[in-house]
Amino acid sequence: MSPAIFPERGLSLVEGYRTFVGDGPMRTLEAIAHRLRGHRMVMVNSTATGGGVAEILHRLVPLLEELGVPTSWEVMSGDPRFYAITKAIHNGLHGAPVTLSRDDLEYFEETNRLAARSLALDGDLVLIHDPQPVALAALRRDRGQRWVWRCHIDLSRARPAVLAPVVAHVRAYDAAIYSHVSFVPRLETPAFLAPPSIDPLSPKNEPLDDEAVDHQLAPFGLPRDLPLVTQVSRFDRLKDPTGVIDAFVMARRRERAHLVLAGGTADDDPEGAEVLAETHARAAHRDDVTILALPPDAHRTINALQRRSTVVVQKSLREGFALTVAEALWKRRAVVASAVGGIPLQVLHERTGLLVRSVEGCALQLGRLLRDPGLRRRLGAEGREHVRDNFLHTREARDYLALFAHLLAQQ
Amino acid sequence: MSEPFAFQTVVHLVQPWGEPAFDFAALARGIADAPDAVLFRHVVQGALRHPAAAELPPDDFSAWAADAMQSPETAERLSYATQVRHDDPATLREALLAALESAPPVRAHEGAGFTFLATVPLCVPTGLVAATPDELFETLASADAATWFLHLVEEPWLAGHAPLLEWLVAQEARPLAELLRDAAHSGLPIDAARALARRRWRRRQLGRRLAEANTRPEGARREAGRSAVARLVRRARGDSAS
Repeated sequence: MSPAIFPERGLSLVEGYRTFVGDGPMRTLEAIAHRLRGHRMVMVNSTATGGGVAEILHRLVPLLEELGVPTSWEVMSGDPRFYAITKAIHNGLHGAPVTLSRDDLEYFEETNRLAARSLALDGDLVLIHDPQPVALAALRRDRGQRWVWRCHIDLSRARPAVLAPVVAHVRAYDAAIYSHVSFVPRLETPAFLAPPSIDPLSPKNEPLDDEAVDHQLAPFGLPRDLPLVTQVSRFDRLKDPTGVIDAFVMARRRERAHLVLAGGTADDDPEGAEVLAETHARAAHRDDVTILALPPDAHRTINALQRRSTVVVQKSLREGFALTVAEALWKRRAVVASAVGGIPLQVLHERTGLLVRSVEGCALQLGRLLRDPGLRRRLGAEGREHVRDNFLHTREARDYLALFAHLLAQQ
Repeated sequence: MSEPFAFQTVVHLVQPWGEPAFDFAALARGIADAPDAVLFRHVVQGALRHPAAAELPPDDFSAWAADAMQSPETAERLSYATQVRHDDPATLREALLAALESAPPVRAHEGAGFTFLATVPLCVPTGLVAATPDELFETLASADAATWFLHLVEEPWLAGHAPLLEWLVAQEARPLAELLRDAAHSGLPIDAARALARRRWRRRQLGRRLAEANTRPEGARREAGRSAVARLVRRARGDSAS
């Protein structure tokens, strides 16, 4: 349970972000950070590598330091049994039918008790990420501290038996932050909303020139003379990969294009393997569909795929937030996406992309975009600005700082 | 000599408020009961979420009426209320409720209800100050969109007065105050409103500069003319290169 170590950085992060975000938003961020001078922040999660939260913290912690808010990152650890329990909690919060015994819940709390003794939680602003360390507030909170729980999970379908013990711990916090209003449980703890964000400096989003894109995509033999239509998503029925194929086939009756469905290999997910097989079966005998099962670290390949695509699709049946949409918009791509979950926050219909509600709608809008380069340019340009203003890491950092400043002012 | 004007910027924290509405009657009840911060979030604050847009998206109420409720007529009425009768919270509330009086008794699908959100503003000093109206204009034109929004839109709407415009009037710069107020109320996205204000301000400055130039010695006038032509050429080259 030692503090995480950050990779060496050569560049000033503040200046790096300023080149993407612009001077105004960075000055706002600096102004709020200035207001928090003299306070120390602690971030706590349960892993130093892998997963979206660790990815964000690797950026946010050094960024906050540069902004003059001393910030440390504590990683809570546990044994295999603890991780099995937290995995079950995670799945239950996502709506999967799981069973947690009284023993499991006691073991979960005991591990939190051990962490409460060993972690350095002496900052006056403590931000706890996700359910694994959620019990720490009740166990370690000192007078004068402000504790905030940041929930990155979609709780809208959470199993009540799993949600209840988590929510009981959230009562010890000053506030909780959720990614989307539909994820907010009924609870007295003040709830705030902060959508997730993408990192313009990460391998998944950094600028790539044509040569780099070619290099990344060379192994896959994708056609160069046809517009690419791409969906990047894990092979999950809720992402509707077979629906994407159906819509593409309908659009292909009038337009020439090639479809790429790219997602994780889903080695640890039996249902993922089934869905991948179904997707292959639906695309059987079609030479205009490529299915790519990519390793989890194929960030630059995904970046290149999105940049090469003429249209990016996200035809989910149900969604948490779908940051793949923000990634595509950031790359000025024309996007067709389902009006579910957090997607309508990113895709403003006819302004930053096109929203659909059916296979037929998806086929219609795909065809429209493939035919109209002017429309693609207009949507792509506005989509880029929309993400710049609302869905970059700097905005998430700003929201965290602003909430702590607000809580401190309430004393 | 009065105090310099100190610029602030604003960040809006967002909180859920009340119960979601699944029909227009519930929307009207919510609008009637909601604090001003809720109307502000759904009608006024959108400009700050899309400062660089080519055109402002519709307000949240009319977007919901059009998309989720499939009621274009109600959407039009709400849109008219939010664009034309939004001067202060009380007027807006009254106009929205009037627009909903004849709304049809349709119901939203599960998951497509209207969720009310409230903003919690956090104002922070930017460290930027202006001692003269000219300085104020230049600083405001280049500050972040939130600074423009706070001083010219949010403060007048929520607090009922605009310290920035009052400061300008106290500096005997009423025309500039009116120019800024008009730009902020133009209905344009923030970046476009700022560009409009800059164009109008430069045009007004032209006469003053000409008058000042006429009082300068001949040599200085020639030098200023040469610099202006050089700037023009540079700009033309830059334009053609891009």
